[in-house]
Amino acid sequence: MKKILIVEDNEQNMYLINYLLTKKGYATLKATTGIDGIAAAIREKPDLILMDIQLPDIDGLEATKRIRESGADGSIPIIAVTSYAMVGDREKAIEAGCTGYVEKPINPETFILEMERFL
Amino acid sequence: MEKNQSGNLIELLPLIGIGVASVLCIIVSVLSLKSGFFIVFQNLFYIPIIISCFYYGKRGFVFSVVLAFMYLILILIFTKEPSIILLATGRVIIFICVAGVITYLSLLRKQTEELRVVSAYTRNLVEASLDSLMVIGMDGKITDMNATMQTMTGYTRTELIGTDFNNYFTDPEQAKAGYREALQIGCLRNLSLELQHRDGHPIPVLYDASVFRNEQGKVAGVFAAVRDITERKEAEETLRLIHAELEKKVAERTRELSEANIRLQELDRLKSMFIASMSHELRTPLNSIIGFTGLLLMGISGSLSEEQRKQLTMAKNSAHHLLSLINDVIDVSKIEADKLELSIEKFNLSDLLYEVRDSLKLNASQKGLSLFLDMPEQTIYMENDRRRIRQIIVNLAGNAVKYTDTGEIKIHAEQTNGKVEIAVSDTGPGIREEDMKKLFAAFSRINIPGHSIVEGTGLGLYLSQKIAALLDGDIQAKSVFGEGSVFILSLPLRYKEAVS
Repeated sequence: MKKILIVEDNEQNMYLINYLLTKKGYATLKATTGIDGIAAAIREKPDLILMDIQLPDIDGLEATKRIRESGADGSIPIIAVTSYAMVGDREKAIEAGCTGYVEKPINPETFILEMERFL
Repeated sequence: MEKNQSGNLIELLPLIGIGVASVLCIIVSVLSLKSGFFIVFQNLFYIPIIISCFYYGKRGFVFSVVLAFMYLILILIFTKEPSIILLATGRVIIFICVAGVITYLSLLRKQTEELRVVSAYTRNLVEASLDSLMVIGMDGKITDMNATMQTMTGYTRTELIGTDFNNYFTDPEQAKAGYREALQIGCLRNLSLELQHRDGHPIPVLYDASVFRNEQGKVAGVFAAVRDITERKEAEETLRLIHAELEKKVAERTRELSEANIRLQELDRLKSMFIASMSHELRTPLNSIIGFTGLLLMGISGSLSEEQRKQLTMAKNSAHHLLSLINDVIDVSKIEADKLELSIEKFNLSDLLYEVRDSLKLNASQKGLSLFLDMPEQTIYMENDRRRIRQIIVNLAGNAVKYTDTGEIKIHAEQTNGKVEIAVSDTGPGIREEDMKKLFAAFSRINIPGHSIVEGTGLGLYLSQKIAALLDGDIQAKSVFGEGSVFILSLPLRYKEAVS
């Protein structure tokens, strides 16, 4: 069973993604801050990380950078999840070390397909 | 002509009179002398001759000499008496002498008279001048002046004559320097000085001076003209005051404007903050609504009845609609505040058009419309803002789907000379001529007769046009009412600021 780390501060979003992934047969790990996300990534070595960009402490881009720098596992796909209209987010996310990019609002019907491309 | 001739005749009358009188006098004189009549009559011919000499000068003298010889000739004709001839000759000699003296006196009198007239004329001109005029000798003393000088200084002619001219100025040294300069160079113009009136008040003046020469051509002194410029000075002062007042007002307005500007900047900052926080705060719950309705519709939370599915779909569509309204409003505020940032990247236009088609395919097929792409075989690569271009094409194609009830929607792309044209054509109701100009206006909705009202804010085309302009492109609309519309988006292949 593949392990997916969800880094997300919004409770409802977390519930939604977690529910969807569990129903689709994935094991999930949850982190609500950037720092917790980094720790979980290093400790648990998940198969994929869903990284929210707007987080209360350090933002998702910074967290991604630190995960990549920690050398925990350079090959973990990290998918940035961000709001509409943040200019240049796609580039910034790739630059920070993200593998892919998913825009909010999440469409449950296509979300799994998009995510699985990176697994 | 006649009038002229008679005029001449009148002028000639005294001459004729004198001529006739002279001849009569000569005859009387000759006859008197011959008959030894009264001595008074014998000398009668003197009278007209003296008169003509006195009034006609040299010409009168010549006339007199001629008459004298006539007299002598007449005597010779009438008598051979030697004593009478001798007497007559003596009289003629004395007579010519007298005529000469009288002529001389007459000429002298005329010359004096002419001199008097000329000198009075010159003087009157000097006195008529509105400027103070004065003549200053080589020693710096006033030798002559006009009446204006007397009124301007308050001193009389006798008081002024023979005094140092520079004493009548508030700055005697400067006045003296001007005088010296005039002597040296020959003239001096517009020296700004102040004349001192007898009662002490200063009069601003402009001082012009030039040298004058005596008969030998030697410099004899300086002729100075002093112009009262009190009125000009007052006008200048008024002007200066007005100017100062104006500058004060400008400074005041500038300050007010800069204060207003600061307030505006503060408001602008607040607005930007508001929009930024709105965009996050409004979207977060909406994302949740869209997510959960989507989840429910997938059926993984439990199976749904047909009615539940229908209602949830409505909720989901409304949520999507609300989200796009929020996004439009945010985009409009950003564009109006010049804060819409662009993100230029290289991309494949065909991929983008497939994406657009896929996102609208469901809506189109639900309405029974065919939606297809018409693209050249060669792939079109663009270097521009992919997301914004997608937004425009989604808007144009989305409108086509919304407004068209039967037929087809075609997205056609074509590359020419560094430009890309993307045309979205439909077989919809078309746009009436009068509606064409408000097509791209903000918040303008166009009602199509016989067509149900379509949801929207009236911001879509406005935004699309604005964004196209930001990307150095534009959108053209063509339509035949009742047949359909075409919207053509033209864009440069590469955005001007794209880094190669």
